[in-house]
Amino acid sequence: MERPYRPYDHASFLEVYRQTAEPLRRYAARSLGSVSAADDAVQEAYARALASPNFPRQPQEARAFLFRVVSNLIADQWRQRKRDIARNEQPSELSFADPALRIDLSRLFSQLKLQERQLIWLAHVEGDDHLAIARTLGLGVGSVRVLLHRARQKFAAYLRAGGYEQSTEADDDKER
Amino acid sequence: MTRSAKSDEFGIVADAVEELAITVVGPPIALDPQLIWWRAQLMGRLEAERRALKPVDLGSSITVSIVSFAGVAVAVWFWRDLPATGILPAGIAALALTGVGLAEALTAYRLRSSA
Repeated sequence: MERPYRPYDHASFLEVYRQTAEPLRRYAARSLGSVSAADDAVQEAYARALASPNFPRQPQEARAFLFRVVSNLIADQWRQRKRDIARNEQPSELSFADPALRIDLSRLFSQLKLQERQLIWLAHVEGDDHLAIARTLGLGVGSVRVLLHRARQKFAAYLRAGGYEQSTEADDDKER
Repeated sequence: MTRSAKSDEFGIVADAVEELAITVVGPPIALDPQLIWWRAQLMGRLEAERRALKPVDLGSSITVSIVSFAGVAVAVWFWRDLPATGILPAGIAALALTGVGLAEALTAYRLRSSA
C-alpha cells in the first residue's frame, strides 16, 4: 500500500540543510573529484529526500538518509562520467588542485577507486562505524571491514610513495 | 602486520584525510536551499498528480477492452444470421476494436508497473 505524501516543513528542512549541506558537499566533491558534479549530486539528493515520504525528521536519521541517497547519486554520476570520458565527450576532471595542501593530496586521493574514497571519507571524516557505512553504501558489515582495511593500506602506500609524512606530536608542539 | 605498523597505517591515512577535510571546497554557488525547497515541492505535486490519475487511465482502458470483447461476442452469437456480404467487414471491425482495446490495456498495465 502506498504511503500518502507528507510534505516536510520548511523550517525543519532549513535546519537539516544547515547541518548537512557542507559535509555532504565535501563528501561528494572528494568522492567525485569535481565540485560542480558534487553540487549537482547534493542538490538532487535534497530534492529526492524532500519528495520521499520516508525522509526522517530527526536530524541524525535525516543525515544518514541523505548520505545514503547522495552515495547512490555519486555512483550514478561516476558511471556516467566514465562513459563520457571513454567516448571523449568530457575532459577528465578526476582531481582538483588544492594549493593549501602540503602535497597534492587530492591527486593521491583521486587515484583510489570511488568506493575506496567513500569508505575512507565516511570512516575518518564523518566518523561512521562499520554498520553506518554499510547502510550508506549498501554493503554488508563484513565487507565494509575488509574493504576499508584494504582501502587504508592502499592509500597509505600511495601517501608514503608520494612523500607524505605523518605528523608527530613534536610537529604539533612546534606549531603551537 | 604488527600492531604498530597497523596503527601507523591508520595514523597516516587519518592525518591525510583530515587535511583534505579541512580544505575549503569552493563557494557553494549552485546550492540554494530555497531553490531546492521549491523544486522538491514541485516534484511532490507532480508525483501526487500522477498517482491520482493512475486509476482513471486504467479504468478507461478496461472499458474499451470490455466493449471490444462484447462486440466480438455479439458478432459470433449472430454469425448465422449475418448476410454473407456483411460478415467480412463486421469481422474486421470487431477484430480491430479488440486489438485497440488490448493495446490500451497493455499500455496502461505497463505504465502502472513501471511507476
